[in-house]
Amino acid sequence: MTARPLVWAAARLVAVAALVGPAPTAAQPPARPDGWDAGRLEHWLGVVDRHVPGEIDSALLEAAGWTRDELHELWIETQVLLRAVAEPQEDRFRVLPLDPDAAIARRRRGLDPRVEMRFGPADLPRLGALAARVRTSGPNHVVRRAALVHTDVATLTPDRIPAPTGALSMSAPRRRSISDGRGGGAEVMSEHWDLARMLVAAVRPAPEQDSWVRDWYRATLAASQHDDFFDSIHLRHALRVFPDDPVILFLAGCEHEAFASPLFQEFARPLRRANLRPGFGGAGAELDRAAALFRRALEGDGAFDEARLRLGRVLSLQGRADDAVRELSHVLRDTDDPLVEYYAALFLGAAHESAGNAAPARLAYQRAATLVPHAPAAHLALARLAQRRGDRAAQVASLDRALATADTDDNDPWWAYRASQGRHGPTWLDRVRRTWSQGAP
Amino acid sequence: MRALVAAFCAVMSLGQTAARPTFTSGVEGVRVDVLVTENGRPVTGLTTADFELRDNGVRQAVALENQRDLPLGVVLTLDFSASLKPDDLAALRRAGRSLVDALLPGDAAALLTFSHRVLRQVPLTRALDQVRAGLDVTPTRGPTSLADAALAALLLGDADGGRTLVVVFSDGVDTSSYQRPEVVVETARRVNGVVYAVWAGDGDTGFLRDLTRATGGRVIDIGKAGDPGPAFLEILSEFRGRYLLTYTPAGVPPGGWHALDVRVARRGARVDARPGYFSAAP
Repeated sequence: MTARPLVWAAARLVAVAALVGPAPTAAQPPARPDGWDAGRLEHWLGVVDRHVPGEIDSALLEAAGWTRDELHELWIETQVLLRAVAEPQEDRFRVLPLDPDAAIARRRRGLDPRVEMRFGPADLPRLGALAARVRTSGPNHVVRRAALVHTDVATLTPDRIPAPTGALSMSAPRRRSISDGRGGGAEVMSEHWDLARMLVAAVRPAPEQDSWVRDWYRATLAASQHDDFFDSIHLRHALRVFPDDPVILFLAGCEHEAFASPLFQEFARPLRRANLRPGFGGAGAELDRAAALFRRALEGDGAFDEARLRLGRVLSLQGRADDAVRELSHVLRDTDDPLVEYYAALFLGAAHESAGNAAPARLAYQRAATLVPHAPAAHLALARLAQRRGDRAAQVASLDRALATADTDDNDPWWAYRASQGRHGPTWLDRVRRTWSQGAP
Repeated sequence: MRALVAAFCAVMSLGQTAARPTFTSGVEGVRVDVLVTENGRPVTGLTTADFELRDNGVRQAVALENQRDLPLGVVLTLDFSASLKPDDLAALRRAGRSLVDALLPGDAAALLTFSHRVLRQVPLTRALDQVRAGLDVTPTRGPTSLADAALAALLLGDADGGRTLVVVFSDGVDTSSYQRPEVVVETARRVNGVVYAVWAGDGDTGFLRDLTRATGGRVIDIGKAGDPGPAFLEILSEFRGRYLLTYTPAGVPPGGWHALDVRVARRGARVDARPGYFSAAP
């Protein structure tokens, strides 16, 4: 579990969603080929060469300082470069711009939404030289390293990214924060994630066959959720590439489980009243989605205890107490992870109660209280059960434990439950970075 | 309803020392806290003859207890979560002090504060200065565990066994409780005490409404940034103006849910009492 203050975590809690439809006043795609800047690509390749993954070095700080406009240019130019690597004879390239409004505006005018770049005799040799440089280093090597540059900017130095200036696309994805059930700020998502995804999609022969790309998606998703950041867009991309991966399905299920929680639903209520869409559904629909995703994760890996734990809790919230008891009991039999065991015991207590079985509920809560003696949730539940059976001494004793122990943030893993599924994310991300350092092709 | 059944003995214990002899008794009694209002104002001067109480449809012989003989136990349960602004926190502290100042000698108070954590700042005590001092604690900011806090307050008041008033203040909806709201409301039907809530938020008060109704209390909505001080004093005054009916159930099987129907022989009067109680089977 995480030990960071939940206040901070709550303030950083984010749902990503485009709230409104596209606006017709879109920025024009960059003029081509006049806007092409070979120097920018050379510079970018230099940063990719110099940056040590996971380090906040000068190369990373340089990349973090690139403006939004520069990143939009880079989005097009890097795709052109990668195509030139694969097709050295080509002198004409069509690329979708990163700004969705630009593509939409062109479509509305009956134009091809892609930006076209034609290279004449003056520009083609410089592009060819850059492509040759990539071929020499190895295209997969370059795109992985480059993806890690942009991943590291987004994860290690997000505060160094220049704030967007000028008119922003209304359909640009935004990162929204929630604090105590109320909407906080909303900031436009950094384009570094778009670039990183585009680069991992360029891994050959196919990203869906590449274990490094799979691990990159798993690690970045888990690390985001560890930071209380639920990035629906990133998950959608991950599921498109790896639709059957148990870990990605699990993390997607966790996102929907979080969306069903009072925290998100309370945030959504005023938006729905104003006929706005918060980017997720009502609690019932979100629980259904979560259950379906956890089941698919378990189809892929039947020994995935944490997916079964989450499924059990969701079933309990759906009122399917007997099914929840079955799944959670299964977890308690199998798991060797103390945190998962604690959650399973706690949730099993609630499921037994819903099923009308007070005695096994008490045993489950007692198990949770034994596993994490200072955690208030189980003691409070035990105090309530003692009150029901008229055991005043036990009621007072359990209440004393519940209230006497709630004095530091990390007392009860329940408080970190929403982000606990991502607890391995930072380690996985380090491993992904190290894989590159060890000279992956 | 073990807590209410035990009320006769427990009430006696409030002013007693451990040296006094104690005994167990087979007598079972139920105490029902009743508010009678007319045009929104408490009605005073009613006698036993004015009340009619039915337990699961069976009329009971009730007595009217002299509430002045019963000191209060007030459990102040205050939301110190991230949503509370500094000015609102200052107003909440003032409100808490004004309520404590209005208590009578012999009354007791406890202080719970909550964000995602529920903290017992001061246990139930007659040393009211401790409660006043407790109100100055630094808030532990975080999301809101309203249901957890309400449950802790109910159980704390119930454990005391006296005449318990739970005052819950919150400006935000529950976002981080482990206890489910319906479970807490169900507990409220089982324990002694009346819950009043002061609501300073703009969200759904459904949980607080259900919780207070289950005990015969109510929600006072003071709006965002409203001053809770007058509401706290209104609650205390209203609570002191309630009638205490006691009876030994007759003609109804023990155990399970007992629906209560309390009426007064006075046209236009409104009666607020808990809708029923749970009683453990003997």
